[in-house]
This record gives sequence, C-alpha cells and structure tokens, in this order.
Amino acid sequence: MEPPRQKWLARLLLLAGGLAGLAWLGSLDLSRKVSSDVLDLVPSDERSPELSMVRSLAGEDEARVLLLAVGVSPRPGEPPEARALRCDHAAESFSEFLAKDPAIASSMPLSDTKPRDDLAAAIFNRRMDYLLPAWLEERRGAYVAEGAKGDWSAWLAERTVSDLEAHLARPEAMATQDLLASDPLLLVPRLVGRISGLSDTGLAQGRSGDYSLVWASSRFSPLAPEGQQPVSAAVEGALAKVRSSEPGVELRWTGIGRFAAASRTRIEREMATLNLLSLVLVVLVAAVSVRRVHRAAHLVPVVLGSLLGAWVATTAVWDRVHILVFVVGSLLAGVAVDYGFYLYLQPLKRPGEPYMERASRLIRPLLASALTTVIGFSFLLWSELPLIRQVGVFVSAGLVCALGTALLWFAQLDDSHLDTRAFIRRRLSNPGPRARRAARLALAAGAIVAVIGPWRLHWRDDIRELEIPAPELKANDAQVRSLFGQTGQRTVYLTRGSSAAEARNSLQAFLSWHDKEYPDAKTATLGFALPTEEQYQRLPGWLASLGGFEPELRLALGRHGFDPGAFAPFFASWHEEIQSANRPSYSELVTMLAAKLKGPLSSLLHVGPGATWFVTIAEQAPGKDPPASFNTVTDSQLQSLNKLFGRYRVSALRLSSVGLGFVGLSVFALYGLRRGVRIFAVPAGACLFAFGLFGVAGATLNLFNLLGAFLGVCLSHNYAIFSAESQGCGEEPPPSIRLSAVATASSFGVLALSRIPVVASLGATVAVIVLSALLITELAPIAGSSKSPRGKIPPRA
Amino acid sequence: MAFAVSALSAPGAGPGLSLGAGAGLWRPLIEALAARGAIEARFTERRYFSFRREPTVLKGVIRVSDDRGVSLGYTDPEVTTVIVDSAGLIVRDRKGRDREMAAGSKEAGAVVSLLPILRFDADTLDSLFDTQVSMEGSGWKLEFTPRDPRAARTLGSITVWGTLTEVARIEFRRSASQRIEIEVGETRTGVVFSAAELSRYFRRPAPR
Repeated sequence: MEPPRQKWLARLLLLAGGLAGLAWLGSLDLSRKVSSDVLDLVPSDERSPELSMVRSLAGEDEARVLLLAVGVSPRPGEPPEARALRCDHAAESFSEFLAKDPAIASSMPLSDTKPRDDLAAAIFNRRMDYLLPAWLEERRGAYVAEGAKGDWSAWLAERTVSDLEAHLARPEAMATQDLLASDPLLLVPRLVGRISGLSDTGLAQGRSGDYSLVWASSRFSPLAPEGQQPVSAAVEGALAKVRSSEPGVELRWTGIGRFAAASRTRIEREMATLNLLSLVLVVLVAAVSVRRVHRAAHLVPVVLGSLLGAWVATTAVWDRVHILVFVVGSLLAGVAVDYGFYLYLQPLKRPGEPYMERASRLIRPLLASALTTVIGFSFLLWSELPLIRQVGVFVSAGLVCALGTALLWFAQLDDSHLDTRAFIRRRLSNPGPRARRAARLALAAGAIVAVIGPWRLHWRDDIRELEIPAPELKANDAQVRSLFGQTGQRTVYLTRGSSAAEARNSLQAFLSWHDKEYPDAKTATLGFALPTEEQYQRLPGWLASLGGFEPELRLALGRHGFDPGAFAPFFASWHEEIQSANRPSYSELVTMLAAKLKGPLSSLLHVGPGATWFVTIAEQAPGKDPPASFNTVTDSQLQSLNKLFGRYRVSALRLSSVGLGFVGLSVFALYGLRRGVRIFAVPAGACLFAFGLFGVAGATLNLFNLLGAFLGVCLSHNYAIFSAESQGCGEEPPPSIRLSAVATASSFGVLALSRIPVVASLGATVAVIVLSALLITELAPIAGSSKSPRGKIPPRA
Repeated sequence: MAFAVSALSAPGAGPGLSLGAGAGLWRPLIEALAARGAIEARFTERRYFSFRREPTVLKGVIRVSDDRGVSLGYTDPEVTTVIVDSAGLIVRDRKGRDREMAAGSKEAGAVVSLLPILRFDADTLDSLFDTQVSMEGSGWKLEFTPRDPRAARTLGSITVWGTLTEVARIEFRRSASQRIEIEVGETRTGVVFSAAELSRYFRRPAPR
C-alpha cells in the first residue's frame, strides 16, 4: 500500500494539470489557431526573394484566381459554330450568376474584351510616355550602328516611313489601319506584336477547344476556410442555375482553394488515423509483452498527459500552428510511453518495494534521458523554420509532461509494477563462439554500411512534399490550365525588384540573357509596355534633339505615296509631347499602368509596397534557370523552393549538430568520459547506420530525414543510458528498453506510412534508427562477451 | 454544275437574290462550289488604305482544305502564312514560328471570314451572313454582309465574283478608301496535299 497522502497529492496535481490544459484548449478557436497554409511553415520575415514572392503571390489577388471552362454537349446535326455560340452564352450566364455570389469578388468570360480594351486604350493614350522612349533609343542605336552621316531627324523620318510601308504588307495591317493615322511610328502595333504571347496563354482567348473560358476571383484567400467551401458552393450554385436553361452544360475548374481544402481534409483525416493507429500499436505492443494485459491501460494516461501538455505548450507559444506539427506530434505516443514503461516495468528490488524508493532509483536515468532529449530539441528553437521550432517545443513539452504524468500517475496507484512476459526478458547471458561471431559480423557489416553508405546519399527538398499529393486534382488542374494555354511548352518567369525601376532594369537584363540562351523562343511581357527609368528620363532630351523630325516625316510620307495630311492626329500628339512640361514620375507611370490591369490581366504586373514584379511568358519548355543576378525565377522554382529549403536543411544540420554536442556533453558530465563515450556511441552508430542504409538503397533525403535522425538519436540515447545504468549495477538491462524501442519503432513505422512524403521520411528515419540502436544494445554485449554457454531467462524480480 | 448555272440563269434569279427569297436557287451553286474539294490557287492581294494613294500589293498561294481550313501563303513582299481554321487564326513567320490569335479578335480582322466563304459552307454562311446572289455578265456575284451589326461595322461587306465553279475575285470593303481586293489566278481543284504541305501550310498538331 502506498501512503494515502502521496496518492491524493498525485491525483490532485494530475487533475489540476489536466483540467488547466483542457480549459486552455477549450478556450481556443482551433480553426483559426491551426493552419494548413504551407507558407506558415516558413518564416514570415524570410529574406529569400523567391519566398517573399511566393508569400505575396499567395496573399495577393493572384492566389484567388479561379479558372473555369464551360462546355455544352452537342446536339444532333448542330454545326460547330452554333455549338460554340451556345457554349459562349452558357459561359456568359454562368459568369453572371457566379459574380452575384458573395464568395466571389469578380467573374468574367474571357471573351469579354473590356479589360484588354481598357488597357489598350490606356497605353494608346499615353503611348508617347510608355513606348516612345524605348523606340527612340532603339532607332538611335540603329542610326549609330549604321554609321549614318546624315541628319538624325531626316534619317529617323525615312526609317519610320519605310517601317510603316513594310507594316502595311503584314497580316495585321488591316486590323491596325484605324490606328496608323495617329501612330505612324507603329508604337502600339509593335507592342501588340511583342506581347501577343500573353494572348496565346489564353488570356485573350474566349474559347479553347470545345470550351468557353471564364476567369473569376474569390473574395477571400483560398488558404482561409471562407475562401474554400463557399467558393465551391458558389461554383456549384451557378452551374445549377445555368443547367436550368442549358441542361447539357458541363464545367471543369481549378483554383488554389480546391487544393487547400482537399489538403486540409486529407491531413485532418491522416492525423486522426495516424494518432489512433499509433496508440493502438503501442497498446498492442504492451499487451503482447506484459502479463496482465488490462493493466497496460495505465500507460494510456501517460500518453494523453504528454499530448495534452504538448498541445498546450505549442498553442500557447504560437499564434498559428501548422497542422503538420500535430501530425508529426502523433509520434509522441510512441515516445511518451517510454517513461511509463521504465517506471511500470522496472523489476522490484524486493517484494513490496515502495513506489518512492523505486522512483528514486530510476530518477537519475529518467531525468538524464528526458533532459538530454529536451536539451537537444530545445536547440531547434533557433531554427529559421517555424515548423521545426514548433516541433521542437511540441516534443520537448510533450516529453517533460510525459515524465511528469508518469511519475504522478504511478504514484497514486497501490500496485505500480507490471510484470513482463518471459520472452521479453530472454537474453543470451553466456553466448557461445558462434553467437559471438555472428554478433561481431553483424556489427562489422553495420559499421561498413555506416561508413560507406552516407557518401551515396542525395539531398533534395521540395515544399510540395509537405502536403499530401492529390493526383486527381493535379490532373484536373493541368487539364484546365492547358485549356487556358498553360502548357509544358511555355515557361513562366517572374522578375522582381524592390521598386518598379529596379524590376524593369532586371527585366531588361533577363530579356537580353533569354535572347542569347533561347534565340528562337519568343517572349512576351507587359514590361515591353514600359521604358526603363533611364530611358524615360532621357525622353525630353531626345525630343529636343528632334526639332526637324516633323517636316522631315511629312516629306518622307509624301515620297512613299502616303497622304501626309491624313496623319494630322499624329502630328498633334507629337506637338503636345514636345511641349509637355508636366510628365508623371516613373513610379506614377508604372502605377497608372498597373491600375488599368483588371481581371485576367491583373497577374501580368504586380506593384506593391517594396516589391514589383513582371511576368514573362517564353515560348520554350522549361530549361536552364536564369542567373540569380537578374532577380528572375521560374514558376517551377517557386513551386519547389528547393534552394531555400536546402539552406534550411544546412541550418537544421548545424543546429542538430550543436544540439547533439550538448546531449553528448551532458552524458559525459553525468556518466564520465569512458561510460559517456560508450553511451553516445549507440545512438551515433545507429544514426550513421540508418543514413548508410538509405544511401545504399539509393534514397533521396530531405530536411525531414535530418530532423528524424535528430529525434532518433535523442530517443535511442535513452536505451544506451538505461543499459549503462543496469550494467553499472551489475544487472541485466531492463525489459522496458525493448518494449520502449519496439513501441517507438511501431509508432514511427506508422508515420512512415503517411501519404505526406516528409512525414513518411521522418517516420522511416526514426524507426530505422531506433531499431538499429536496439540491435546495437542487444548485440554489443554478445559480441563483447568472452564466455560461452547458453542464454537463460533472468530471474523475475 | 450545269444545274447550278441554269438555276442562276432562271428568270427568278434576277439582279439580286437574297437567301430567304431564293435559297432553292442559290444553294445548288453554293453546293457545287463546296464540292470542289481541296484547292490551290495563286492570288494577288491589293490593300487600299485611306492614308495612302496607291494600294499595297501582296502575292502568294491560297490553299483550301475541307478539314484543315484555309491557308494564305504570302510570298511577296514577305514570306508569311496566315492560317484560318475552326480553332482560330495563326500567323506563321518565315522561320515557322506561330502566333495564334483569337478568331474574334480585332487583330484577326476580316480574314477569318475567309474560312466559311472559301469553303462555301452553306449552313455557316447562313448563320453568319446576309447573302445576296446576282449574275454579272457570264459569271456570278455573292455578296455577304455580316448579320452581327458590330461585325458589319468592322468588316464591311465581302463580295465574291466567279464564273461557273471558279472564284475570280474577293473583296473586303469597309469603304471606298479602305478595302482589300484578292484576285484569284490559276486554280487547281481536287488537290491532295502531302504531309509536308499540311504541316507547312496548316495548323500543326499540338505537341503531346
């Protein structure tokens, strides 16, 4: 019988802690607190330009875009044109209904030319500011390159009219004839030709195949719940309304919200499954290994206390916690139960040994194993990645709470000892030469793998591996995007700058690079509609040098069979430009252009505080990435963030190494150098072996394998400590080590089944390290023994 | 063919016959023109602009395929191919690089109308144009006015002159000073285009 005071005090503390934790969690709005936004996994103040672009893209209107393709089923004998018209009408009605829904900010069929017309009108009205500077600079360059000796104004006039004459023989001449009287310099027709690739992407296409296209944007971020289900409902509602008049209408659509909603649902389902499976496996391991199975239920409060503490600590420290932390956190079931095993299964020194006496015997190794792990994980708080910091706190807090709960829970039981089954305790106490040889051979083979394998490892990180792949949604997305012209034969580049001028300069440099790298691939960017800041500032000087241009142009037009009088609108604009004293500043010019970008055009140029970027579409399959100095990335670089995560991996490696160093130092401090080295060799060897095994298997590892290795080393450290403690007392290692390792390996083995690639990586790494450590602790005594005969079951306590 | 000509020569054909009034009379001609199969013909195009005294003259070869659309292969003064088919319009430069335009875009202009007109697709013509047929000398004249008032303002009218089943001239007319005349020269009918010609002069299949 345990003293009643001890029992009631323990119960009181457990109850108070449990109620306080539950009250805290109950007070939280978990749907707000728990995020499924992948970008919450990376720092908000990340300096990496590509990540800040991704953050902006995700937070801005670009992420809210919905691409929708409306089709109608054919009627017997119906000509394709009539079907296409019917399809257009259905798309228009659908778009109208959709636009009325409060979840939708705007919606328009792509056949609606208003955004393009408005932009074209804005550029045409300010063509002298937007387009003349680059035109003049190019012409001046040609004048110098030709080594022309004549008057600059006369040369320019003759060249202008020659170009105009050539333009009239081109296919687009008839379509632009109404513009030419105002624009004989061909500023606007030239721009239209240069940015035609933007139209090819579907931006200007009202139709694609059998579909009529609709562009829409949601009112709220697709990463927030209100930007997900309500948007799907709006789309379904609009479709149902169109079906009342056009029953055969079908819809294909995509948007980030669909992925985000699916991801959250899948992760939540996965979290529930993994946690449950992990708990079941741990209980199963305990049930198989102990004599009175029902009493294994006393391990459950330890796991629950650990998880409660971890949730409370993590939610208390951070405003938003990524859902992945809780998925990874499900591993705590397998780790937390360790302390329960160590206390509950520790053989009694004598019958009726009081709990406090047994606990005080175990407190040193318990504290050593818990605190060294906590110290190690605390170093993760210095990580740049919020995810790693959150996992660090989750695991550290969870382990401390597991230890506290275990100490208190077993203190309030009258019988706090559980016997294990015989096979769990079976050991080869006096192994024969064959067993010794086999153990040595196994350890030597492991050492070879540990030495050679790691050199064969490949590392690669991809932010997309943080989510559960959704192949059907991806296939749908690819199909819809291909209808909108986004195919693998095009590459999308984003060129950024802290100001519009900087971004435009980088764009100029990037376009020059691209012309050299891909001479046959056309590029299209709205940047063509803007001069560089230097070109714009030189404009007044250029105009001043062209005093004789107007009369020369009139003469040249006459010489080439034109009627100079028909170009009166141009000459009026030219006069106005020459006399203009109040030109807008360069940033005003860019802002005015950006303000005219509506609907699908809004993604072509982003002007925001401290960041401007241009989109460029190149007619070539993705290939070489542009040099970093051009501040230009491809959309695929943005999708994977491999380079950025590579940097985080290096940072995590540094922190883990420092953390492990401290773990090692604390072991040396507690156990002395000789025993410390022997203890530390077990987790370190297991870790190297695991990496070696992955290397030999040709696996490609990521940041999460590294994190898993760190966790695995900290956990397997416990086995070495408990083995050393037993050895120090001249006892057999306690059976709790085996149970603990098997339970941990089971719980991480469950994680290895996760459909989230990084979680599977972490689970597999820890499981392999823990099992390897267990094998080392089992084999090392056999390999090192000098006497023979057979093993026997140690006497039960 | 004889039937078509005799139908046009009938008293009812008169100086001008609208679709509603004489579908039975002009349809045989349209059907005979549509039945010619693939065609290849030389052409000379004259473009008249309001700001220029003389027309701009272009030359080339026109190709019409029942299933691949219409291709205008300009050879002079610049090598360019304009392809009009049911999927839209493509401008292919001398290096073989394509630029696609939406069929209804301003850039595409009147040229997309060539597809139903040169294929003489009666149903599509009926849905898009108000058609007038008349006899001129020994030949015939088809005048198409877009039914959509906006298209009518942009494109003006399109007139096709011919004799028997030969098209002689096409005119796109917005006004007296803004028009295109296409004079069709030597014509081969029932042409079978080789795979290389189809690839060079018509839309290429999208890469997989």
